[in-house]
Amino acid sequence: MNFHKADEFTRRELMIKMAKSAFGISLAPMFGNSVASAADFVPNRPRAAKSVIFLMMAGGMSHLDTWDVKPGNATVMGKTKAIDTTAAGIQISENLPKSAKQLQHMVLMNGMSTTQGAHEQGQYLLERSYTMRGTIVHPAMGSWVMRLAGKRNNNIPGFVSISGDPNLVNGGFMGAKFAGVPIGDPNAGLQDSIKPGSISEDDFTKRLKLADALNKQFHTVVSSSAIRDHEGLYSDALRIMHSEDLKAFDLTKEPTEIKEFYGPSRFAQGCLLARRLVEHGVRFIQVTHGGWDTHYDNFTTVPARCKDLDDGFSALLADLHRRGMLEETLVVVATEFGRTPEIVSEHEDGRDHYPKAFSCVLAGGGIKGGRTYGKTDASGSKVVENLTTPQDFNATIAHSLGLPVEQVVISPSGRPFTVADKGKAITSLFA
Amino acid sequence: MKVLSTTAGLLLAAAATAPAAVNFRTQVWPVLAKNCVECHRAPYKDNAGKMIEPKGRLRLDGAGGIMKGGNEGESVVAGDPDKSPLYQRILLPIDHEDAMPPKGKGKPLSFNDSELIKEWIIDGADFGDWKGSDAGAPVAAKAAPKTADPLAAGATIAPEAAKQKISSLGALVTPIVKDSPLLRIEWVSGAGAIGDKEVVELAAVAGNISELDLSGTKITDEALTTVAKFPRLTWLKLNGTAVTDAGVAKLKGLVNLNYLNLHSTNVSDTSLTTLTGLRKLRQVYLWKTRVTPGEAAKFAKSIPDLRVALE
Repeated sequence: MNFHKADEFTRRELMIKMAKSAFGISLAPMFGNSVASAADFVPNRPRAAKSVIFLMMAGGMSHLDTWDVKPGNATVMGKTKAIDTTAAGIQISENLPKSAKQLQHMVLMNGMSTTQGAHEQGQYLLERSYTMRGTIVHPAMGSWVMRLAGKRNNNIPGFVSISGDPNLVNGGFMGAKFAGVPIGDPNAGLQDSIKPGSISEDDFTKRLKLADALNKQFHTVVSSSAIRDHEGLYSDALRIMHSEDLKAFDLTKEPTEIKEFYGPSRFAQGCLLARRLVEHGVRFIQVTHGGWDTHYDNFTTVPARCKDLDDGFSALLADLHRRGMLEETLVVVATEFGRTPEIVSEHEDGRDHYPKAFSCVLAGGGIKGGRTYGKTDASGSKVVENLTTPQDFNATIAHSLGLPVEQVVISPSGRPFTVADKGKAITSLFA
Repeated sequence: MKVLSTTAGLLLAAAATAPAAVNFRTQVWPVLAKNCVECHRAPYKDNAGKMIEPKGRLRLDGAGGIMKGGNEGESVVAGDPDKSPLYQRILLPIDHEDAMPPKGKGKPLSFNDSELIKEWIIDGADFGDWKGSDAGAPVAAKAAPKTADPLAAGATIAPEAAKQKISSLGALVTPIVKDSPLLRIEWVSGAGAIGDKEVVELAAVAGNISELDLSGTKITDEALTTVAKFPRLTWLKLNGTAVTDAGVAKLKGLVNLNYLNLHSTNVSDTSLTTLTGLRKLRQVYLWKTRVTPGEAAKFAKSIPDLRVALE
């Protein structure tokens, strides 16, 4: 663990440390958990979304081979062909045939543009609305949602990250209690959340009491925010261990036909887990799907990545819709940047990083679908209409949830920040 | 306009023959689009998110902007190219401080292109059916602020004690939107412990409930006797409960209902007869019920803008 930057404690590190030894769990949280509860939050627009499922295409998803096709321009399209969708006049890539049948729920954000052309910096700006700097770590989008809206279900975490780098979802200056709880494998559920069978409930309670007694003196002498956050995590973990809501994390509770409906990949199963978590009131779920960095052999790698995205995303929309949950769940497909319209033939037809123009998708959450917003030129190399920055994008996510986009949160260093920096919510996307 | 070029007269003389009227859309607009519009267009955000205003507050990307002019006044005087800065400034020598396009930002226009602009002005600066962009133009009047939710009219703030009592049953009780007396009541956790008895307690705030989620609870048709008395109910989730057609029949007085979720219940086509009377319904969810596709399609057509999800 890195003790030099207190705001970079990751929740994973703390959860692992805590869960691996039941000995450390404090029964009586001395400081409590200060994440606001849902009862305190009132949205500023009616029928606001209650949860966000943020599908992160890490590595830079090629816009031309997915959502922003240029039929007829073979120079930039290479082997990728366009197909019709359920929305009249809108075509997408043949790599996404199932998603094409759900386009009535989506707005294709084809005017995205960012200033960052490297992965870490690009993901940071996309997820945190600010550019990376040495003096501070800004909170992740899910952390902002937790801070401004709080949990809907106090028994389980409000911000969960499936299959991604835990650093992508750390709480930044907001600290560990606002960080995303990482889940490596959706099929494995929440690791170490069940009391080992060899320990009786009595023994467990005794150990906790002992730990609490040992901790007590330490807590009276040393009281820092990191320790209070730590205490909050312990009490969170304890609630989870005894909660009926723990089954939210258990994909074995899902019928085989539904698991098959989503598809076999880890990403698609992550989408299914995300739906279960929304049903249990989790506010923000990030599901990461990596491998989009197609410098080499773009036209083999992208279709393979698309298969998993197409399975998981299309099933998620269809499933949320038939359950009547889509209106209250914003589903986001996002990536840090696009890829070059130029095809690099000496790299087996690869595409390089392209921050100037790329695509993301918004669906559900009050979005009026079957449309595009923003437009690139005939080669997909320049945004010519409704340029959208990552900050505008995040402001739009916040608007969907009915969050106060302009609310200032002061960092421990005394500086003011807002959920989407100076981004403007694109309110015209909403029904 | 600080400078009037004396070369204008010479060039005017050079235009020996006047061709047929110049077409703005096909002849002039391509010249402006290529040489001028990059700097003289609707305000936009650059890659760093910074707002970029049109240079000199002059927009040349729409008919309105061209005729309105910019910081230095009008850009086109119809019929008079000598008084039209749009034409005069493209004639200035490239080193002149007022030359357009400015040195380094573009190349001087060709003789043919500047002549087209001149002829178009002489012809009366007619745009034909071309309007161009008016994005970012000041809107004549701001839309009136949305009137308060008519449904909330007459509703009083629910007593705190009544809300506390319902919260103590494990429910999440929140206003549906800031400053509204209307409530949303749901069991995000522990719905399995809720039955008809608990629903009776909701009657204490009957006039306030607008959104109610009873999905996954142990309620029976009996609970809907209480729910039927919530006049402001717009949003109701009953999915995954033991509710039947007999229960749905009790809802026939809920005229404000907009959203109804019955998926994974035992309801059948019989319920659709009841629901057809609820004219404000817009979303009805019937996946995993006994409702048949044919009747669902008929039902969807029976109410304007109704969307029915059967799967």
